[in-house]
Amino acid sequence: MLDINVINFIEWGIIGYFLIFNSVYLLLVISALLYVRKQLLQNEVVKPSGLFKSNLYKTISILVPAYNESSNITESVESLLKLEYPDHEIIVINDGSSDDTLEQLISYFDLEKTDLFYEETVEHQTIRGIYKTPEFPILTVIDKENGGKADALNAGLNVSESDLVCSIDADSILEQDVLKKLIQTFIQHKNTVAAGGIVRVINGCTIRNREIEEVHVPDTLLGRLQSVEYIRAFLFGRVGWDYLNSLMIISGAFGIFDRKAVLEVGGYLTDTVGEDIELILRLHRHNMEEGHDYKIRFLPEPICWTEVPNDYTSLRNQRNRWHRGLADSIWRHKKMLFNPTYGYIGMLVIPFFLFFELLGPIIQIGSYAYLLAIILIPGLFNTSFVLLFLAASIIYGMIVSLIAILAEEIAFKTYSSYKDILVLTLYSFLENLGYRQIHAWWQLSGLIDFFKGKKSWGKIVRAGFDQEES
Amino acid sequence: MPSLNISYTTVLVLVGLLGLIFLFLLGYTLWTRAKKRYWQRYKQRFRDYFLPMLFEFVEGQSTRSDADKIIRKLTKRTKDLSYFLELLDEMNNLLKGQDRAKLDLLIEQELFFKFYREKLFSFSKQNQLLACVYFENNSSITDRIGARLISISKSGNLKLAYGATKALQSSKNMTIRRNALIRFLKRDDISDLMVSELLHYFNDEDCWNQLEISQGLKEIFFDKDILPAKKRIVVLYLAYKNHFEMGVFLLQYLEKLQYSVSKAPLISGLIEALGKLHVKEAAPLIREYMSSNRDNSLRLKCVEALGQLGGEENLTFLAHQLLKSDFSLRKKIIQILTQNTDEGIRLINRFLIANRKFVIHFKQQDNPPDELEHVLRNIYSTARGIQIMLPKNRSLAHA
Repeated sequence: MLDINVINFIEWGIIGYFLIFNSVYLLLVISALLYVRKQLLQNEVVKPSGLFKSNLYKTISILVPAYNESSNITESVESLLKLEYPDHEIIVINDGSSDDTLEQLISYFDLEKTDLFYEETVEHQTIRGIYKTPEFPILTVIDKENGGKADALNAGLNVSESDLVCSIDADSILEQDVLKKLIQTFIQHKNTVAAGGIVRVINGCTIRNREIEEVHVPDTLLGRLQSVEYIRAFLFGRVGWDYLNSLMIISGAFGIFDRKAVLEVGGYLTDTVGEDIELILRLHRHNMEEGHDYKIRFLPEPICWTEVPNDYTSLRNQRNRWHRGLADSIWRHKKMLFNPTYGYIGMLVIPFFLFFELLGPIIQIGSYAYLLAIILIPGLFNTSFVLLFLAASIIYGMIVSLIAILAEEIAFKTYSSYKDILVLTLYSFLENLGYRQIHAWWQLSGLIDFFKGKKSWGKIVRAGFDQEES
Repeated sequence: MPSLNISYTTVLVLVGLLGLIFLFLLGYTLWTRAKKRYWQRYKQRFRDYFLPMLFEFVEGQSTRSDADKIIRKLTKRTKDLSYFLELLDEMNNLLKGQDRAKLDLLIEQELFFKFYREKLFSFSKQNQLLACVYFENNSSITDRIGARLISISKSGNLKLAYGATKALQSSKNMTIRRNALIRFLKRDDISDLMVSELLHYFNDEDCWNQLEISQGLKEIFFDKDILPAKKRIVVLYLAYKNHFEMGVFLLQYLEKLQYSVSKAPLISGLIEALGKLHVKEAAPLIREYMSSNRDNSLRLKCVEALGQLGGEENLTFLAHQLLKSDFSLRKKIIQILTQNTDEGIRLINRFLIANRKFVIHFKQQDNPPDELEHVLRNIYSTARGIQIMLPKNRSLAHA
C-alpha cells in the first residue's frame, strides 16, 4: 500500500494545481475586465483624425494565405477590399492549392500575370506567378508552390512594402473599420512590434454581404462550448496577459506586425505547426537580447470573426496541433525559461505556460485517473479529497467561466439577444463537465505526438459562411 | 486532507457563490439590456428631432441667436448633451468650410462649456479625458481652462497629457500651442504617430499663415531636450505641407549636424524633406552622405531625394551607385531612372551596354575570379529589375 504521506502529497498537489490554474484565470479575467472598460472609455483620445489627413501614418499590407479556399476566396477578398483605411494593400498568397482557388481569383478580379521586383529577404517556396489588376491596384495575388501557412506568409512579407503586415486566415471576416482601430495601438504605445486582436466565433451569426448583421451563439454543442472557451481563454485570458505586459500568443487568425521587426528576426518559421506562438516568442527573445524598447500588445476592440470546427475530429485535430505548436515553441526557446535576462516573460509567463498549459493535461488526466483509482480500489476512497477536488476543479472552473461571460456582457454586449447569454451561461457549466476533460485528452495526445515528431496540420472541415447567410 | 466538514462547507460555499453569480448575471443582463433598448429608442427619437434642425442651421443664414434657440430645446441631462455632441461630431466629419464653422456656434455654447469645464476640474481622469476631447473642438479656451489644460498636459499619464496637448492646439494663442507641443515632444514615451497627429492640430491654416506656422515649428529644432527621432517627424511634416520657405533653413540645419547613430533618423528625415522641397543646393551634401555612409535606410532616403531633385548630375551619380548598392537601394534607383526622364533611360542604356561587355568578357574567362561572381549577380538582378520596372511604353536599345 502507498504511504499515507505520499497520498497526501499527491492529493494536495492535485488540488493545488487546479486552485492555482483557475485562480490565475480568474485574476486574468478580472484584470482584463477592468482594463477593457478603461480602454474602451479612453479610446476617444487616441482616435486618429488628423493623422489620416497627412501622409505620416503607417501603411498596412493584409496577408491572406489561401490553401484550397475556392469556396469563399472571392467573397473574402471582396470584403477586404472594402476595409476603411487610407493606404492598405491586400496580398493573397495561393499556397499551391489543389483546387481552383487561383483560377477563381483570376477570373473574378480579371487578374493579369505581372512581374514584381522584390528581394527574398526570408526564404520560401518558389513563386510561380504574381497577378495584379488595374481595376483594384491594392490587390496582389501570389501563386506559389505549397509550403504551408508560414511559408506563404514569408512570401507575402517579401512582396509587401508596407510598414505593418496584418496576417489573417482566408476564411475570416474583418470588421470594416478594423484597421483604423488597430492603428490606435501604434499611436498609444511607441515601439509596438506586434499586436493581436479579438477573434470571435462566427458560427451562428447572421451574415449579409460578408458583414455581420446579428451576433448569435452557434447552433451546435461544440460550437457553443468553443464560444465559452473563446471568451474565457482567448479574449479575457489574452487581454489579462496583455494587462500584465506578458502576451505570449497572438492568434494566427488575426495579428498585426511591424514588417521590419518580423524580417529582422527572420520571418515565420516554416518547420513548426505553431508559427504564431513561435514568432511572438522569437520577437520577445530577440528584442530583449538586443535591449530594445518594444511592445507586444493585445487590442480588446478590433474584431476578426472566424469559423470554429463543428465536428469532433476537426476540433480534436486543431487542438492537437495547437498543443504541438506550444510544445515546439517552448522547446525552441527553452533558453528563456527561468532566465532573468528575459524579464517576467522568462521568469513567469513561459513557466506558467509550461507547467499549466503544456504539462497541465498530464496532471489533469492523471488526476481523473487517480480519482477513478480511489473510487475503484477499496480502502483508498477519501470523501474529503473527492469533495475538494470537485470544488477546485469543476465548481471553481464554472465560476471562472461564468465570470468571463459576465465580463463579456459588462464590457462588450456583443451577443444580440438575451437568449444567447442564457445559452452561454448554461454552456459555461457544461464546459467544465466533460469538454475540458476531453480537451485535456486531446492536448495530451498532442504532447505525445510532439514527442513522436508529428508535424502535419491535420484536416479541419469547415462548413463555410454560405450556409449561414440569410 | 482537511476534515469532511470543511470539505462540505467549501463545496457548499462555492456552489452558493456560483448560484449568486449566475443570478447576478441573469439579472444584470436583463436589466442592462432593457435599459440599453430604452436608450436606443430614445436616442433614435432624439436624432430624428435634432438632426433636421441642425442641417437647417448649418445650411441657412444662421446666427448665434439661432444656435441659442436650438440649445434651449435641449435638457441638461448628461445623455442629451452627449447625444447632441455625438450629432455635432458626425456633422463635423461631414461638413467643410463655412458650414463647418457654424457648428462652432453650437459646440462653444455655455451649456456644454460649463458641463465640460466641471469635468476638466474634477479629479477623475476619465472626466478629464472627456473634457480634453471636448476642448479639442472648442477654440474659445479661457485663461482658466488653458491653465488647467497646461497642468494636465504635464501629467505623467501619457493619454491625459496627449489629450490635453491636443486640446491646447485649439487655442488662439500661438505661444500656448507651441509651448504645449514642445513640452509634449520632450517626453520619451510618445509614439511617432502621436507627433504626426498633434502637428496636424498645430497646423491650423484657418488661424495662421504658413510662415507663422513654420516659424512656430522652427523652435523645436533648437531644443536639445527633444529627441532627433521626434524632430524628424516635424521635418517630414514641413515637407509634406510644402513649407518651401523652410528649405534653406533645413539645409543649414543639416549642414551643422554631425552624423551619429542617434541623429541618423533626423538626418534621414532632413534629406527626405530637402528632396521633397526641391532644395537643389542640397544635392552635393546628399551625394556626400550617400557615398560616405553605410546606413542603408539613410542611403535610401538619399536616393529618393536625389531622384526628386533630378538633373543630369544627380541621375548620373545614382546610375553609378547601381552596382555598389544593396537591393532596396538598387530597386529605388532603377525606379527613378526608368520612370523619371529621358535622361534616366539614356543612363540605363549606357549601364546595360557597359555591363553586357563585362558579362561577355566574364563568361569568356576560363577561371573567373570568385569576387566577380557577386558583381555578376548584381548585374543580373539590376537587369531584371530594369526589365520589370520599365514602363511598357518605353523601350531600350539594349534591353
